[in-house]
Amino acid sequence: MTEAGPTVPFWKDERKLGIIFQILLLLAVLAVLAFLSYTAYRGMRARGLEFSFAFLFEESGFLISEGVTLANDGGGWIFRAFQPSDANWQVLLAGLINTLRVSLTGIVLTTILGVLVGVGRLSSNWLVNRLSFAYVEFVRNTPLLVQMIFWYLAVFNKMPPLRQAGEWYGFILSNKGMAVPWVATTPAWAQFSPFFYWGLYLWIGLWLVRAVWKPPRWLYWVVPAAAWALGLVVAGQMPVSLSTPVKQGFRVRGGALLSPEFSSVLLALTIYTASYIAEIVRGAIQSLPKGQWEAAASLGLSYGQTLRLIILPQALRIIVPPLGNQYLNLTKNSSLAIAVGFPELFNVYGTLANQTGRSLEGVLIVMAVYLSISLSISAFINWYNTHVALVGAAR
Amino acid sequence: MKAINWARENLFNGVFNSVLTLVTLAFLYVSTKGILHWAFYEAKWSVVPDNMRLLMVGPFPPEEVWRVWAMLVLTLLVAGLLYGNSTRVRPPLWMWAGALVLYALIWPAVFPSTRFWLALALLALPAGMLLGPLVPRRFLTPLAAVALILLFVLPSAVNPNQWGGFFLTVLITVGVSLMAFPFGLLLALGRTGKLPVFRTLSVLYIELIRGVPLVTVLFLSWIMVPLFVPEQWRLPDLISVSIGFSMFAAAYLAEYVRGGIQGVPKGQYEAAWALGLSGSQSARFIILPQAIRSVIPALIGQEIAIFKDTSLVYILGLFDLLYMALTVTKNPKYLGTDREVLLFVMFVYFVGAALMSYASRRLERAMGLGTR
Repeated sequence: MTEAGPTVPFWKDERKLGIIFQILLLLAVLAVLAFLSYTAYRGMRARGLEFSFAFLFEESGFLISEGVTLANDGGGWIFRAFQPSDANWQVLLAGLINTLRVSLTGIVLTTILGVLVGVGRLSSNWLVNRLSFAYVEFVRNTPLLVQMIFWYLAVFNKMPPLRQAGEWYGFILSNKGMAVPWVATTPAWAQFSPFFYWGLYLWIGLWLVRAVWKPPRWLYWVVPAAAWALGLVVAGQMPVSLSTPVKQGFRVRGGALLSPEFSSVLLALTIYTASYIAEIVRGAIQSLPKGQWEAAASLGLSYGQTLRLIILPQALRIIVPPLGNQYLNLTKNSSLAIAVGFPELFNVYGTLANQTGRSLEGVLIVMAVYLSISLSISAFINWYNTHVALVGAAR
Repeated sequence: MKAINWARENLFNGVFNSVLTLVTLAFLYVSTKGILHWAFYEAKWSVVPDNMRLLMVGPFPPEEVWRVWAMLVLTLLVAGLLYGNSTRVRPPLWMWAGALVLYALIWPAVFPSTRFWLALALLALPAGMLLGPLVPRRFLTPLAAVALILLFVLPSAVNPNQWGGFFLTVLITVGVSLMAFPFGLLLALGRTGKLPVFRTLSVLYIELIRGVPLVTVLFLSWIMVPLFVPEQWRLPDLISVSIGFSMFAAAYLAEYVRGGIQGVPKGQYEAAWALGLSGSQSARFIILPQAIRSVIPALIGQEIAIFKDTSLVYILGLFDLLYMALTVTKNPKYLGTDREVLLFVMFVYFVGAALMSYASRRLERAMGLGTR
């Protein structure tokens, strides 16, 4: 096919210009990348450094204050407390596990607090309304890092020693940290545990076979319940009990003792993120048509019933994407724990970089790990989002 | 009588609300009793005025502090001039009164040598507004340019490694915003544009940066940037950290601007096309002005986030407000004053952020956002 009419010079043809610009940009980016890696390489050489990941398999030789890692215990790979004789990759793993521990706990707590405050912002009760407003405004307008350091230096470090510590409904707050009630296993756990795990496996199995054979809905809870009931009969007594912490001399017995570092990071992340979640919840509830409230009222539902049965289920669909974003932020913000010395991934990296001099390699590993966490959380949110989305709704 | 009626309507309407009010009151009593007692009887608040210079300018040489004052006065004066010139609003009475009250309040806390500067700084904004309408419009641009150059020249006599305190916090906020904005704009245009290579690279960059914590980006640039300059240069950490910070902020800015660009009705593109505007012309004259106008609240929100995030440079050992605050608490004379000093830091950040969001709301109203 031949082009008719006057020919357009290429510098006035948007299509050709676009292609030329793209090629130029690609070349420029490649050139910049090449230049950067070359100068970085040369700079490192000039400073007597080399780029290698071999340090990951060397012995770490330093201790972290708390952390569990995967280790070969002669017989096989098990989870146990980190030891200085472990390799550098194991200390990074311990850091990652700490990151996940504080983030997952924080996500659960911040969701509860955030929804409460968000609903409180809309309460007709003046006091609750103003209090929630003040909370959101204050917490959102001050930096998380300062709050975290405040919790650590100005709250937990100033707690009385354990002997004079106050007890509060099973919680003990002292300069050793926060002791909370926790689930503990009893001797009967040994007989019960096989049934517990088999119940769990069968339940997962039911989910997995769903593609081939769709089991009736009641089976999902009857199967594990039956396995656990059988286990209870065999064990003869309760395999788990709620253990509340008790002061005993200089130590706490029972319950779970959360270190001051963990507690301050957890509290700071929870309280900070909750203020954002509160605003998301409030916005979602307010965005629902007023007719929903009126229809519920005309059906004779109370305020609480309306909220629980009509408003929140609908608000949930609007809430999920930004909520997922906040979960992501919380996880990423846990890296600030380096300022209070909680050995999460980034803090462990800091120590490791000091010890081995591998700052660049280390920070690249850490960034890759955070990136994969972020991508997994957003993948999960997307999956969940398609589940709660209106069937047939355009989105 | 009025108060009782009000309480009945707002606090005790119904059983549930009455219980809620009582529970909240009990909670407030328990939680604030100790705090208030501490704040009024135990806290040593004198630590804050005693160390005000350290908190505000850090290790800045005391004999050079006038430079910071001059920058403050200059900024306020020019801001007042521009505002007064564009709106012809006479400075309201509360501004003068507020300046007087603030002066009386801060007066005892500052050294005699700085009282003169304090007075100048407090008067600069209303004075600028008063003088603003008298300045012919064509002098404004050169005036602002001279002020801008002075703002660069004034602190440059002091080694950047000696900049610190709240001064450094503000400096990083402004610098990072200025560097991040054009880059973020380009990324947003690339992501919304038609050219696949631009789009892919922008998406890759934005998602990569948004997937990692700020502190790792700061660390990376803190390690990497010095590798790119000759070793004898001794680049100040402030520069290498600010570069990483700007690259991080640009990715977030780009997403807000993208929201604005996607909100521009399709007819605007078509109209620009019909007028024969090229791609870059329609972006510059038609799309971006509308897009940015609609996302100004979000952009100021991002500005507040940058302001708060500057506290992270403390982790890298820059002498920002937080760093100086923690230094003060390590002074044997002021040992154990962590609460007082950290509360002051929170207060400073809170006032700064609240002022910005107030300005944002005013701007929104002035621009008629959401009403047309």
